[in-house]
Amino acid sequence: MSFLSLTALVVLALAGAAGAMLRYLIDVSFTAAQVRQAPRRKHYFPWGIFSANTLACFLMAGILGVAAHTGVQLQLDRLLNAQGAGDPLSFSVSLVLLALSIGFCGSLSTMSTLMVSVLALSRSGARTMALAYLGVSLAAGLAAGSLGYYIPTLF
Amino acid sequence: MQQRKQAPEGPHFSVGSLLAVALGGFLGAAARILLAVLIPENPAFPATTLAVNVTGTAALGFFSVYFAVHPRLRDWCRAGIGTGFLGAFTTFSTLVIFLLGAPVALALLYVGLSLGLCGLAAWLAVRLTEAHYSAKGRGPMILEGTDAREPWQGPSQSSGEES
Repeated sequence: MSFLSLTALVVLALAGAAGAMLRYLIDVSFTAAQVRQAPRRKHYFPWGIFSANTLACFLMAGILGVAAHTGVQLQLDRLLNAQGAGDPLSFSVSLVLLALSIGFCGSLSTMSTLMVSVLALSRSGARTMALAYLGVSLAAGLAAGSLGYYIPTLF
Repeated sequence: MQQRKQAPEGPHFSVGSLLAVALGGFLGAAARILLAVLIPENPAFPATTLAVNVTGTAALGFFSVYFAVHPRLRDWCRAGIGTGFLGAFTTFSTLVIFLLGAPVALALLYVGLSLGLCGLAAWLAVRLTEAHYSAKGRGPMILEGTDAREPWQGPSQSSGEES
């Protein structure tokens, strides 16, 4: 791995760290608001993780839409394996777009927390909420993704 | 014994936890991206993303039990591993983006496999870890939503609820 591709990996991972931090902040503040509004409830719908996942789908589709719209190539292996990476401008552009999509949005969204929450809710008797959470997460992700793809085509 | 309840309330904010999430998120994203480079994704069927999601979900299943039976573990440590590393390692957006671009039959297959395998992985990891601690005679009944003040029933008792 060349120095350049190592730098690129660090940039992508830093964007990932930012995505995870934003997800944590959303989760903490949403949950705190839910508990404040209705204390002592037995189950809380995980609106925080739901929002982080939906937002991530929207943003990622938007970024991929922008890349497709402007003809930027987003190939991770080319970015991280390239020795000289050719044109520095297109290298930087695809680095930024990949950092925002795979790095930031990839970390902003989460599958593990979603599935473990679904399991935990259904095990503790809130099976309807568990199924609703799963279904609503998927539906909202697909809708947000479609919207995200659509918006760049308007310009 | 004072038991700390693992989230329905979710994580509580602290600067230490936020920094741990940043570090964990950095490492989780780096691991996910490195794996995507080492095992290049087949655009027709993103098996790497599927494998990452299944293993990450299994790991979180294990840790959710582990955290519950170790109530004195620091909050920042839980946040760094769970929210940070495993949260960033696994991804929902890449899955959804693939679904949007795939033919309907393939999309249905992929989403079924993702949810089925991740659900199975989480369930197996939780049950096996519970069985492990149960054999050692330790541990409250753990997952969110359960009342931690009730005496632990053991995994065999809880199995009826979820079938």
